[in-house]
Amino acid sequence: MRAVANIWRRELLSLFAAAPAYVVLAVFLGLAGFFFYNILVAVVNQTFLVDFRSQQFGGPPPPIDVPSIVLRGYLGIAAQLLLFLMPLLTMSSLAEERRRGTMELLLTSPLGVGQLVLGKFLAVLAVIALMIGITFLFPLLLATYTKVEFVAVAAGYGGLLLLSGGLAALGLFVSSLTDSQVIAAVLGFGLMLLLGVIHLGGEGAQGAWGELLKQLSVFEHFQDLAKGVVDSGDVVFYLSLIALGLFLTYRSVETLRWRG
Amino acid sequence: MIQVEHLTKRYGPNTAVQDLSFQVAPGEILGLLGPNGAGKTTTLRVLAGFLPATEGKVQVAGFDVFEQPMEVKRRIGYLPELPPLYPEMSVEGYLGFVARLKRLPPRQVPGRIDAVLEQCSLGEVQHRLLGRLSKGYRQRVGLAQVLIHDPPVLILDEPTAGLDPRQILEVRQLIKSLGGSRTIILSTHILPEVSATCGRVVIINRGQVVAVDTPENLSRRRTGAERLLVRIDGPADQVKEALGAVPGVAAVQEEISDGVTGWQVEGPGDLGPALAREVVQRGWGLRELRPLTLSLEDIFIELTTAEPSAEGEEVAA
Repeated sequence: MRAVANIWRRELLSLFAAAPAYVVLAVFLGLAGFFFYNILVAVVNQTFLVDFRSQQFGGPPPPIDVPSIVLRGYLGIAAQLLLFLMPLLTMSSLAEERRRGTMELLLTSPLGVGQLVLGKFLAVLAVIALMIGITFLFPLLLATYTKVEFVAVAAGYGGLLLLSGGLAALGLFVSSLTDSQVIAAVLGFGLMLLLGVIHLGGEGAQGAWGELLKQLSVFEHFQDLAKGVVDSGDVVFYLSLIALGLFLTYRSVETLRWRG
Repeated sequence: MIQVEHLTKRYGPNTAVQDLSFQVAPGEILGLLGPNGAGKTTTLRVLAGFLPATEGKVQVAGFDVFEQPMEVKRRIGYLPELPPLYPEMSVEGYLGFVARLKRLPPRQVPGRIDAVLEQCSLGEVQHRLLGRLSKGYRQRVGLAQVLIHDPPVLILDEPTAGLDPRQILEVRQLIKSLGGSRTIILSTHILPEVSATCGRVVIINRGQVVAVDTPENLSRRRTGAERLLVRIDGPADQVKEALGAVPGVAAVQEEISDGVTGWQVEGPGDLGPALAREVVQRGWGLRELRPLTLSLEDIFIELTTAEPSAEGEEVAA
C-alpha cells in the first residue's frame, strides 16, 4: 500500500506541476458553471410558463422538481465534458514514463506492476474527484432556495465518478501503448468517444446486436444514475470497465520488457 | 556477486548479446567495455531485471534475476544510460520518491537523502528542480538515486557520459570510493575510464566476450614477445645492422616520432642489457631504451576489429 501511495503522490505532483491538471480543472469548472447556469435559467423559465398556464386554466400547478431536473441536466453535460477532457489527464501518465526513461527506474525497483498501475489510476481519479467535488457546490446552492434530494444527487455524482473512472482506466491503457503523449491523447479520445456514441449504431439495428451496442455505451448506463436511480447493472458495468482498463494497462506495462 | 552464464538476448532476428558469460566478485569493480552497439546496455538491462534474457542464467546477489526479480531489485542500484529523472521534481523530492520506491523504511529516508546529497556533492542544488539542472548535476542525481537505498550491487551504464573532464574525474573518484564495500559493474566505451576505475575488464564486441582480464594484464598480454624502443646517436645503417645482430633479436624496425629516429626491437626474452652493451661497445651514444607496451587503445581496437569473413559468419549464425 505504501508503494501505491508513493506512486500516487508523485503522479499527482506531476499532474499539477507539469501536466495540464490545472488547465483541465479550470476549463471543466468554467464550462460546468456555464451549463449549470443556462440549464437552471431554462428550467426556471419553464416553471414560470407552467405556473402561468395553470393560473389561466385554473387548477393547481403540476409539481415540478426543479433541482432534480437541473442537476440531471447538469450531470449529463458534465459526463460529456469529462469524456472530452479525460484524455488530457491520462495521456502523459505512462507514455511520459516511457519517453523519459523513468520506466526503467520503476521496473528495476521492487515495485509490482499492479502497484504502479493502481497508483497512477488513483492519482487521475483524485483529480477527477476534485473536479466533480467542487461542482457539488451546485446542489448546495440550490438547497439554499429549495429542497434538494441529496441522496439522489449523491448517487448521480457517484455515478459520474464511476463513469470517469472507467474512462480514466481506458486512458491509462492507451497511454501505456506509446511513448508519445499526442498519440495517447488522440487514441484515447477516439476510444472514449466511440464508447460514448456506440449506442447510436444500435438504434437502427434490431435485436441482440442493437442491444449489445447499447449496453456498451458509457452514456446509456449513466442515464438512470443521473436521475439518482442506482441500478446494480450500471454500477457493475462501470466497475467492469475500470477493471478491464486496469487489467489491459497491467498487461501492457508487463509486456513492455518484451517489447523493449 | 554477479554471475552471468551463457546469456543470449535476441530482438526478433537481431542478436544483441550472444552466449555471454562472466562473473563479478564481491567488492569488485568490473568494467564492461565495448564499442557503441556492442551489447553493453542490453547486458546491463538484463542484469537489472528490466529485460528478460532469451537464453542463459543471470544471478545477482545470490538470486536468479528471472525467478526472484523482487529480491534482486531490492539489492541493486541501477543507473540507466539516461538518468531517469522527473524534470518537475526537486532533487530532494526525487530522492525521497526513489527511497520509498526502493522500500527504504520511512524513518531512514531523511537521513539517507542527506547522506547521498553529501556523497554526490548535491547539497547546493537540493531544492532546485531537476529540469533546471545542468547535465553534470543530472548525472550526479542519477548516481545519488543509485545509492539512496545503500544497495550492495551497483549497475552503472556509462556513468560519466556527457560530463566535463573535471566532473568525470569526480565521478570516477566517487565510483572508486564505493568499490570494496559494494560490487560494481559499469559500462563504458572510454578506455581511460577502465584503467582509472576498474579492477577487471570484460571487453565485448557484437554481443560476445572477446577478452576478460585486468587492465594491466591486457596491456601486457598481446605483446607476447618483448618490444623495446631504442634511440641511439650513431650512423643509421650500421645501427640497424648491429641491433639485428644482437642475440635474441627477431626484428628491428625504424620508428620516427617527433622528428627523432628510434628503433623498435622485438624478440623473446630480456633484450635490454644485451642491446645496451652492444651500443656502448661500439661507442655510440645511448639516448633512450625503454620497453614498449601496447596501450589499452591498441588492444581494444585489435580485439574489436573483426575480420570481415568472421563477421559474415556471425551474422549467418
